[in-house]
Amino acid sequence: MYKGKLLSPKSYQARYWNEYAQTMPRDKLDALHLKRIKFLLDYAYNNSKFYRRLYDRNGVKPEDINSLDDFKRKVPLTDKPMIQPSQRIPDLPYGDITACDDSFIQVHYQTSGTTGEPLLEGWEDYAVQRIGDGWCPAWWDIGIRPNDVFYFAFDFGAFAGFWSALWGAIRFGAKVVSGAGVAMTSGERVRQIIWLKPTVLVCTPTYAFRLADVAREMGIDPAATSIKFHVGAGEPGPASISELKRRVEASWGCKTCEVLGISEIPTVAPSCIMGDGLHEHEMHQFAWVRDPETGNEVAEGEVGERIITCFSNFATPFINYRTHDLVRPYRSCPCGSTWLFYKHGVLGRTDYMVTIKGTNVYQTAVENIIAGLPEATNYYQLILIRKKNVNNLTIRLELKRDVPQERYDSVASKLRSEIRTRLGVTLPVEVVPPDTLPRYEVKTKRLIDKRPDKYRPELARKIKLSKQDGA
Amino acid sequence: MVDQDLINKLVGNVKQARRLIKEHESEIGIPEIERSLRMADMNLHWILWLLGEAVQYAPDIPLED
Repeated sequence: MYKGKLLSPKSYQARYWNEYAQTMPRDKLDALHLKRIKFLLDYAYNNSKFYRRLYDRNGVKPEDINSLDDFKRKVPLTDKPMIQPSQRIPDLPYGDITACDDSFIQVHYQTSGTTGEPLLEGWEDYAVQRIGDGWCPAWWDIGIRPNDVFYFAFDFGAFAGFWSALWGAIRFGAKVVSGAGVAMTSGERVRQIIWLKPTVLVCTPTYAFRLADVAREMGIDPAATSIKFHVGAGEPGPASISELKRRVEASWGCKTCEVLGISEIPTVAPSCIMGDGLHEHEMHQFAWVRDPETGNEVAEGEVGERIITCFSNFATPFINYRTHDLVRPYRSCPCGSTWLFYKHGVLGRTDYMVTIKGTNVYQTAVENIIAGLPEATNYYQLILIRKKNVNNLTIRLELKRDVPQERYDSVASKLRSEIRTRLGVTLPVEVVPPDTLPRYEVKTKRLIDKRPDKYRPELARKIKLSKQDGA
Repeated sequence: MVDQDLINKLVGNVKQARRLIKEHESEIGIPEIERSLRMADMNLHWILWLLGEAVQYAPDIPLED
């Protein structure tokens, strides 16, 4: 039987997926970013009506930008609600932001539309290949190699997220097993894992727990299966929530990693080998972190909004684009990579940083505490309401099946107390019976905002308004 | 440690390979071969991009190199 090698022995021993790129000195990286940004500004200004209009209106010409500082200060920010209305222009399905002929577009995706009209995304083949490749540094870091077997435990749908992981796995050189299909119940997926012995489980952390529960119900110990790695995305994962990492790893007897993506843009931030944060993929994008109130760049270690300029999609350029992700940036990391590091990943969203009784509360901060509660499951909701002119956040939570009902009150009290100690705010906790809360395969929705529209996040409001206006 | 001499040599060879591909791409007239050449060029462009060489975003977008 022919025995080929997917990589040379020298590559198999490499510490990084791409040491040259991942450890490029900062001054060299910044010089490269500036050259690429100048090219992109010129390209977008001359090919995209959206950017021509935006820059003319703001009195900015591509030739005015001669430093990264110029770029951050002078080039206007872009945001999802600015792009979406132009997608209704006849014959321009992806809107007038589009910078190339439609014949280049080979793959269509769209956002889920949970906050309004779906955003349509047209990607070239090259963008698909690039974003797929963007997952690989995180995989390589935790020890996944091309001889591993990926198991995709979800339906793909029109949402770009896990499609990109599929492209990445193929590019990586791995074998892929699909767990997609209407007939695929969680039980069927467990049976496939037993039968086909994949080593890498790809799904949201929430679904990894669900699948582990189902396996146990079938009398199978998930930690004793062939799974050695879990790859997560679609919700705050192991890089953001340390307890989640510990629990996924304990459930499946595996190592975990994740990739932060944005549904509308082919850009990724792979998790760090140190396990407590994410790195900006600086071959895919340039990023800086902005104080949402002053608009200035934050100092190292301070929390701000991640603003990105994508290098991977020439069909739809995204320049100085607001991600609304709150991150804490560092310019160095003990892992040795020079790519911008976000300690503890995404800390929350600018649109969902809620002020409760004068205290700023981040969603992931609450989730971290819940995950640390031994009795807690991964099934919970944060219900946000407006009462007597103030925000109120209530936690609804399912406990493990072996926790007797008479302990519900004491566990709720323990969680309230822990949140008060660590966040300085008291949040009501409501324990609900097992199987009460909805289960999701992708895009787990934990924060349920029931406030009147005028109190809802600016982003969600704008999208809703543009939909109503038919803009 | 990355061997810079090896990288420089690779960059030179990849640029040359792209030039050779371009010579045939528009003239061959065999759709299957032309598409394969274009995909090969895309991957070569990606190598240059990852090594900090390429500035234009895609092989089809002209620039200085």
